[in-house]
Order: sequence, then structure tokens, then C-alpha cells
Amino acid sequence: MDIAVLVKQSLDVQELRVDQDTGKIYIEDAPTKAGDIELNATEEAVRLKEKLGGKAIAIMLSTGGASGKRQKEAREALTRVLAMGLDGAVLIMGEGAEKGDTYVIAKALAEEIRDKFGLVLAAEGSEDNFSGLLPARLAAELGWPYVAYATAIEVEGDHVKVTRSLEDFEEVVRVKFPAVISVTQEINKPRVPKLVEIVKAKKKPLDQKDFSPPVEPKLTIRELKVPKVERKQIVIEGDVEEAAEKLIQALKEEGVL
Amino acid sequence: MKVLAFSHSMDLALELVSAGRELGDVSLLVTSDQEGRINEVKGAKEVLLCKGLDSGDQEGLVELISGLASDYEVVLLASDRRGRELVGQVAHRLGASSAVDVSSLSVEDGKLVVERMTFGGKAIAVEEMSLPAVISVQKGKFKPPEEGEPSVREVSAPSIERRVEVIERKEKPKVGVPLDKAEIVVAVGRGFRKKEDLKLAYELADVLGGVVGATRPVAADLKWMEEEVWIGISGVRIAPKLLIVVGASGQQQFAAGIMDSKVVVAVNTDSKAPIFEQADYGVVMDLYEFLPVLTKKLKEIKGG
Amino acid sequence: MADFDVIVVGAGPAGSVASYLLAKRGHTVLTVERGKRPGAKNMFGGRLYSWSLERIFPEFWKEAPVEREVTKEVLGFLHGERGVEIRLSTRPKGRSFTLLRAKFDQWLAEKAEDAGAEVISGFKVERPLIRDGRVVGIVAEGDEEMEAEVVIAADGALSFMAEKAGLRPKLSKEDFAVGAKEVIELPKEVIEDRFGLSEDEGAAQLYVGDLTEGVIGGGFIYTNKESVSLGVVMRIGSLASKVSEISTAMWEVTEKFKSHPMIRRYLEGGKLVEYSAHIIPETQFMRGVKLYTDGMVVVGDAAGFCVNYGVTVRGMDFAIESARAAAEAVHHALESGDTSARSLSKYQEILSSGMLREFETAKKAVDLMEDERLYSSIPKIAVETLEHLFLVDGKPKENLYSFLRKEFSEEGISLLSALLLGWKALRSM
Ligand SMILES: Cc1cc2nc3c(=O)[nH]c(=O)nc-3n(C[C@H](O)[C@H](O)[C@H](O)COP(=O)(O)OP(=O)(O)OC[C@H]3O[C@@H](n4cnc5c(N)ncnc54)[C@H](O)[C@@H]3O)c2cc1C
Ligand SMILES: Cc1cc2nc3c(=O)[nH]c(=O)nc-3n(C[C@H](O)[C@H](O)[C@H](O)COP(=O)(O)OP(=O)(O)OC[C@H]3O[C@@H](n4cnc5c(N)ncnc54)[C@H](O)[C@@H]3O)c2cc1C
Repeated sequence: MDIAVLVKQSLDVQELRVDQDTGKIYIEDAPTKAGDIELNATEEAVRLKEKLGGKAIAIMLSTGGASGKRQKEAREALTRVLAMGLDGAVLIMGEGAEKGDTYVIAKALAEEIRDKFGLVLAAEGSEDNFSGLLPARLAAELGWPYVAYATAIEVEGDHVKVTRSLEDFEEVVRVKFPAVISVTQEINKPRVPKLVEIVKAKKKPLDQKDFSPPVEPKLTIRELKVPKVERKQIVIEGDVEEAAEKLIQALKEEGVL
Repeated sequence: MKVLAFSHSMDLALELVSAGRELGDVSLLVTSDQEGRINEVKGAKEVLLCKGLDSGDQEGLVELISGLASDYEVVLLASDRRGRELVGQVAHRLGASSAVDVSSLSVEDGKLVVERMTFGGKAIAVEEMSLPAVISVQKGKFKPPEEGEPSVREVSAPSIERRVEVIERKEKPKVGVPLDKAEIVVAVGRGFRKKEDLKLAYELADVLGGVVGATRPVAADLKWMEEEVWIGISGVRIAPKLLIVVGASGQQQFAAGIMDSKVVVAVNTDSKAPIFEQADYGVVMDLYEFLPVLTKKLKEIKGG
Repeated sequence: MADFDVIVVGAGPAGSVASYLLAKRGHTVLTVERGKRPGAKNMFGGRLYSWSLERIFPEFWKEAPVEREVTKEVLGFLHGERGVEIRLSTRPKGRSFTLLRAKFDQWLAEKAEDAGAEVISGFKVERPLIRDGRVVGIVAEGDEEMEAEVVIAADGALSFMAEKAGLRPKLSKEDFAVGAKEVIELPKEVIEDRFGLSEDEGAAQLYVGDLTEGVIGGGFIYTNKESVSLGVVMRIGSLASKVSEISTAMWEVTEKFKSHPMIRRYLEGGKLVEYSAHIIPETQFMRGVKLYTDGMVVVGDAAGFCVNYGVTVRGMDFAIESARAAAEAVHHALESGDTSARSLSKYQEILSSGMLREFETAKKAVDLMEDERLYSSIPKIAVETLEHLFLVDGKPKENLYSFLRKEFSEEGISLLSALLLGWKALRSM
């Protein structure tokens, strides 16, 4: 049974520049990457594929547009997960994909996944939007059961045992294949690929396809606003004693002590 | 507009009623395990009581809510993990639009307009949603209504084959003072070398009369805290008047959770750590040297 | 067999050019860059002299992400709140362009990739892999070995590669100057207006004076399309004992520079978007550097091909030219199947008949800039002389000659040596 790992081309939010004065968000300038939690999903796929006796393939439907820069970054992100031990990757890209909401993307991804895979692994949320909607919609589209927030996955015959972490309790559930599971950051420690693995990953099969939206989106982004957070950014100098005193003084003046 | 609401947590369900009233009449779905708290529900038009379904049955809930939803324009769920798990599934079953963790919602020209944080908290997206829509509402944004007795109508449980079977459920320790309500918070990060060292943070929180919160790795991965609660985009968003962040780098996903704090202090050995951009006062020092001295001096003031 | 014909360490201009040229000639090339992306962390003042890159990519400026072509040169003297600017408006003989490294380095690295080199970012190379006294590859972080027929060390000013291969002595902090730079965003029209430029034209402005409190160094401003690069270079290594002291001093001088009335007016309303600091190798240590050994050559800053004129630094063009020479030599070595030091010595030969001569001339200009009076007395005299000439306060004026004589004697400089210094300075520009 083959595993599909959903990898999103996320904006690197750490490097995304926003201007609080003008409200400008420099989306085009920001680099993109595979989300950190998708590396956890990849790690889990690599671990599970031995047990399931199949391949593990990354699937990226890029919503970053089709510019050369985004294309290159998408391939680099896929190279990274391939280097971790996946067997191949599918990259779906194209003009118009940036307007796709999770409804559109789930429909398009389902085409790629139905009949080919028995298990889909995803991140609990993407790095830049963190909604977690996509795997849930995908499961609904495929008609497969969905379990989110996995902190451990064990294969037992024709089903998997998933431990998942919820706010008030921890749950262990048993799910039949085929299934969609989203994982948390705590499920494992993603391996850091070696140089040689990256070199080899560039030779692994990467199948690039054109995206064409199967349906119209249900949601559009009307506006992106920059929240104003003004921080004084005062650095307290001096030795330990002085710094502690200065800090206390400052907090007193702020009226928070 | 007709709104259907549900949450696994009765407290959040009451907030949803309030959020839903911004749009129209609210029907609140209540499951068998929640029946005992029905009389707390105020301000909803009606309560839909499903005696044959437990809120732990996610598959049953997807089926039930999707079935009921055909009579409504908007489905409101909570933004806890189980609530969010339902949003996408229900929305897709209905062919509806969807959004999670929404902080405000309104109707403009027949369109539903919502706001939510995106890009790890660096931006707020204003989204236009077609109807029907399935939405999860950010915690703590709406106050439960105090008046209006709803009528109660029973609905029957769906009969479907379950493919997910819950085989074990372990309660987690309960949270003391909830972080999102605390006035003073000391937030700890991976700069602490071992669990025992958190004592330094607890002592500081004690003199200040505050509580200790953590970054996600400290709470969820290392599990150094009493309870698994962390600050940030995937955890709790806090709004204390004083926040002291100790040994945390201030990555965007953490920073998104502290934006509403009044005064932020950061203690970190690395002067280039992004947390200093998020702070009013920065102390570039080893927490092991700085915290004991700060706590001692605060004790002197508070004691004398 | 080795994993690659060539492994290039570092994807700065030197590394990317070497990678490009060798990949284009059909060799298998692996380029390893420790930054997240090529150019991600790389900084420089702001101007590239185009001659060497033109040899590889004729008219590269039509395609490469350059900002503006420098057409205006300004030399400024600052003294206290006052200042004098001398503006040179002739089109310089060789073309030069302002640019931002993050974009430019990435463009060059893509050229190498397109030619077939494997460019891998986010990996630090720890040291050369040495067997039986010969460099046979690299050791990357995590103790991972990778073999190559030839290694090209293009790892910049600090080059641990050269040091660990025994090609240059361990450096001490006296061997370095330090540069700090800010990028300040301004609207295009504002830049063109304030600096008196037409579209695509750029300015290069250098300032010396009491700003650096007598330390050799000064401030610079280069105009980009929609930002200016502004910074300070100081020969500070020997003065401070701690890195933190150096960075504080650099920051203070940069702030002082920015707030000088003459400079401030250029920047008003601008937005600081980037701050970085970097060391600059001093040309003196070139003497102790060897350029090649069995299985390895050193290029660019790693080899010390960088000239610090005190206020400005020039090294990009030498980095590119040295990489071209090295690529030529490495190609021959690979073709002949002999990658020993003797075979690679062709690199030095190519340099000696070309770039090294240009480099020596450039270094001569440095000797002049070493004169500390240029950073203290001269700016003061320049400012006060002009004030003397132009300011009228109703009191009787001394004649210019006796005024000058007084000024110079206050500064302990003879008139003759001042004239000589001035003459040399003009000639070297
Ligand atoms: C989609 C997604 C969602 C996420 N959601 C969240 C979230 O909700 N909340 C969250 O916290 N994280 C979240 N993360 C993880 C987040 O990206 C960071 O990894 C995490 O916040 C880092 O935690 P930290 O600051 O404790 O650890 P680190 O980043 O390792 O920082 C430790 C800091 O301690 C400092 N330090 C070390 N020693 C000392 C000392 N002796 N004295 C003082 N300082 C010292 C170091 O300089 C460093 O800055 C999420 C990640 C993703 C991808
Ligand atoms: C303040 C300042 C101003 C300057 N102004 C100018 C100017 O206006 N004009 C000009 O021509 N020159 C200027 N220079 C000099 C110029 O920046 C250098 O001469 C030029 O960058 C040298 O190119 P390079 O490729 O040899 O090295 P670098 O550009 O330093 O590139 C070295 C690369 O190697 C990588 N690297 C280093 N170590 C490793 C490792 N162990 N493993 C993997 N990768 C590694 C680095 O990340 C980097 O990308 C200036 C320098 C400074 C500091």
C-alpha cells in the first residue's frame, strides 16, 4: 500500500516582511518552503512505508502561482522531503492556483490520490495558514475516515492505531484503511538529510503537472491587513543587578507591577 | 439568517450562541453527554437535543451536523481541536465554504465576511464566504448571552457504519488558572535546560502573582509542564498586562499568541533572537543568572 | 572514483562563477553553500566593477539584477556638524553598478545551476578532506565525506578551508577591518531627486572625517533603485578586544554618520530594512597565502583578493576574475588527469599575467589611504578652508595663504606634505 504525503508550498512566515505603517505585505519577496510539520508527516511516512510494503510519495499542489521563482522553490522543497526518504514526488502547479480555496484544492488533490494510495498523511496545519481544513476536506471528498492531531501511529494489519492529542484528553483510535491522518509536531523528530541524500534526491522522480481548477472557489480573500503591534524594543543594559533594577523601575513606570 | 451551532465544550457552545446571534437565529445542537447543562443555554432560538449521540463520536457528529445543516445557512463550531476537525469535513459534505479560528463575522451584501489571523499572525485576512458556510470561532471572542429561553426539540442520531473506533481515552490534568485569563504570565522556552530549572520561572511568577506558560516544544514535546497547554497560533492566545518571556526565541508561531499582551519583557542570551522585536523591554542575559536576581529584588519590594 | 569532478565550497560570486564555468565545460560540479540560499547572508558595500564579469557574461547588466549604473562619484569631508562634498560627474572609464547581494548572488548561482552544477544550500562544509597530504574532497557538517578530483575554496574572507589545508596562517583580528551596512528604503523619485540622478543612474558617495575619531575608515552611500546602501568601514580589529565591543562601536559610528546634517537629508523619511556587519580581509596578509595545493585551489576573498581602500572595499571583481582563472586551470588539470599542485599552479600563472597586476595597482592606492591624516586633519582643513573662503561675517579676513598655514601648523602637517597627499589622492582616484 502506498502512502501520499501532502506537502504545501508555504510562505516562510518568519521571513515574510510586513510594513505596519503602510500595511504592505511583501508576499512576492518572501521565500517559500515545505512546512515544518510536513517534515514530521514525511518522517512518519518513511517510517510506515516499510511496514506497509509500498512507496511513499509527496504531493504538492502549489498555490504560489507559476513564477519561475516559485517553481524553483517548490522543487527545492520537494527535494528536501525526497532526501528524507520519500520515493517520488508529484508537483501540480499553474496559473490560477493561487485563487484556489481548500474546496478547490481538495477536489483537485483527490483526483491525484483516489485509487492510487491507501493512506494520506498531512500536517495538522500548514505553516502559513494553519487551518487544517485541507486534509479534512480531502477525506470527505474521498469518502475516507479522517483522524487529526496524531502523536503516534502504529500499523496493525488492515488498520492503524492512532494516538491523538486533544485539549482535555488523549485518545487512542483504530482506523481502517484507506484513511487520511494529520500529524502534530510532536509525533517524531524529522531526520536531517545528508548532503549525499540531497544529491540523490535530485535524481528521484518528480512528476510535474499543470493545474487547472476543477471547480470554482467558495471563498475569496477580500483584503489582507497588517495588525499593529507597537513594542518599545528597549534593551536594558548593565550587569545583572543593574539590569534587574532598571527593569523593575521600568515596569513600575508602566504601572504593571 | 439561520445558524446551527455545536461545540464539544459547553462553555464554548455558549460563546457560539453569542457569535451566531450576530447573524440571526441560532439553533444549538446538544449531545447526550451535554444534556445536563441544557438549562445554561440562553439566547438561542432552540436547542436540538440528540440523546442518541455522544460528543466523543466525531464520525457521528459529521453525519448528524451535515444532515441537519441543510436547513441552515451557517454552521458555527468551536476552534478547539475537535471542533476544527469537524469544520472541513462538514463543509465539504455540504459543498460549503469554510474558515477556522474566525475572530469576527458579519453579513455584507448577502455575503458572509469573516476575519482571521494568517501568515503566522503577521496578517489578518478578511474573507468573503459564499453560503452555506461552516466556520469555527476563535475562543474567548464572544460573551455568552444571559437571557432568552430556547425551546427544545429532539433530533435522532444518525445510523452509519463507524470506521474510526475509540479504544482508549485518558483525561489530561486540568488547567489551573487558564493562561488566557491571567493578568501576569511568565512564558518559558527551550532556553531552560531541564524540567527542574523551571522552578526559577515558578518562583518569579509567584512573587508577581502570575502563572507560568510555555512554548509548544516545552509543553507538548518535552512535556515539562503540569498540563499540555502552550502559547501561540496552535495553542492559546494570551492578553496579560505583563508578559515575561524567558528563554524562548520568539518564532512567529509563538509570537502570534502574545500580540495582545500589554507589556512584554524578553530575557534571552541571543541578542539577535526575534523575541526582542516583539518586546518592550529586552534583557540580553543568561536566564540562570538574571532570574534569581530579579526574583530576589521583586521579593524585597513586595515583602517590604 | 570521486563523487564529483569538482566541489566548490561557497556560492558567493567567486564560487558561482567557478561552478558555472566548469559545469559549462561538462565537468560534474557540486557547490555547497552554508546559507539558506546563495546570497542570503552575504553583504558588501554596494558597487560591482563590471570588467571581470563582462568577460563571462557580456552585457550582463541587461539580465542580471543590478540596481543602478554608477555615474556620479562624491567624496565628502565631514567635520563636526559641517561638511564638504566634491562631486565628480564624468562618466568613469570602466562601468560599475550598484546591486544587492541577496538577489545578485542568487542570480549567479542560478547561472551555475542552469549550466549543470548541483548547488546545495543550507550545508556547512567543515573542512577539506585530506588523505596522504592531498585534498581529496570535503567534510560537510555531520562528519559527512564527499570526494572530488579538485576542491575550490570560495568560502570568503574567513576561509577555514584555506587555513585547514595549510594554505594560509591562522588569522588574528589585526588582519581584518570591519564593515557595517544598512539598507534604507526610499521611493525611486526621492532618490533621483536627492542625489541628482536620472533614471537608472547611480551615485557612489564616500565620506571621511572625525566620524571615525581618527581610525582609518569612513562612511559610504550607494544608491539602489528603491533604496540606498549606507554603511561604515573601520580598521578596528586591533582596537577592540571583544566582538561585542566592535559591533557596538560599528553601530555607534553608523548612527553618527546617519545623523550628520549632510547625510541626514539624503535619508529623511527612509525605512531601515536591513542591517548587517561583516569582516574585510586586509590585503597585507596576502603575503602569507598560497593559492593552490594538491587537489585544491583558493579563490576570491578566501585567497585575500580584496582591497580595502579605507572607506570603500573592492573585491567582487577580483573574486570573479580569480574564479575565472581558477576554472581555467582546473579544467586543464581535469583534462590532463593531473590535479596535483604542480598542475594547478597554472592558476597562479594565469593570474600573474593578468589580474595580479591590476590587484597590485589597486593595493598601491591603499598605501595612500593608510595615511591617517586623511581621516582627521584633512577633512577639518577642507571644511575650515571653504568656510574661510565663503563665509562673510563683517570682520576683516586673513588672506588665504596665512589662514592655511595656521590651519596646517595647528594640525602639525607641513604645507608641502599636505599638498603631496592631496596630489596623490587625486591621482589615485
Ligand atoms: C505550524 C506551526 C505551528 C506552531 N505553533 C506553535 C505555537 O502555537 N506555540 C509555540 O510556542 N510554537 C509553535 N510552533 C513552533 C515554533 O515554530 C518554534 O519552534 C517554537 O516556538 C520554539 O520554541 P522555543 O522558543 O522554546 O525554543 P527555541 O526556538 O529553541 O528557543 C530557545 C531560546 O532560548 C535561548 N536561550 C538558550 N539558553 C538560554 C539561557 N541560558 N538564558 C536565556 N536564553 C537562553 C536561545 O537563545 C533561544 O532563543 C509551531 C510551528 C509550526 C510549524
Ligand atoms: C562592508 C563591506 C563592503 C564591501 N564593499 C564592496 C564593494 O562595494 N565592491 C566590491 O567589489 N566589493 C566589496 N566588498 C568585498 C566583497 O564583498 C568581497 O570581496 C566578495 O564578496 C568576495 O566574494 P567571494 O565569493 O570570494 O566571497 P563571499 O562573497 O564572502 O562568499 C563566500 C560564500 O561562501 C559561503 N561559505 C563560507 N564558509 C562556508 C562553509 N564552511 N561551507 C559552505 N559555505 C560557506 C558563504 O556563505 C558565502 O556565500 C565589501 C566587503 C565588505 C565586508
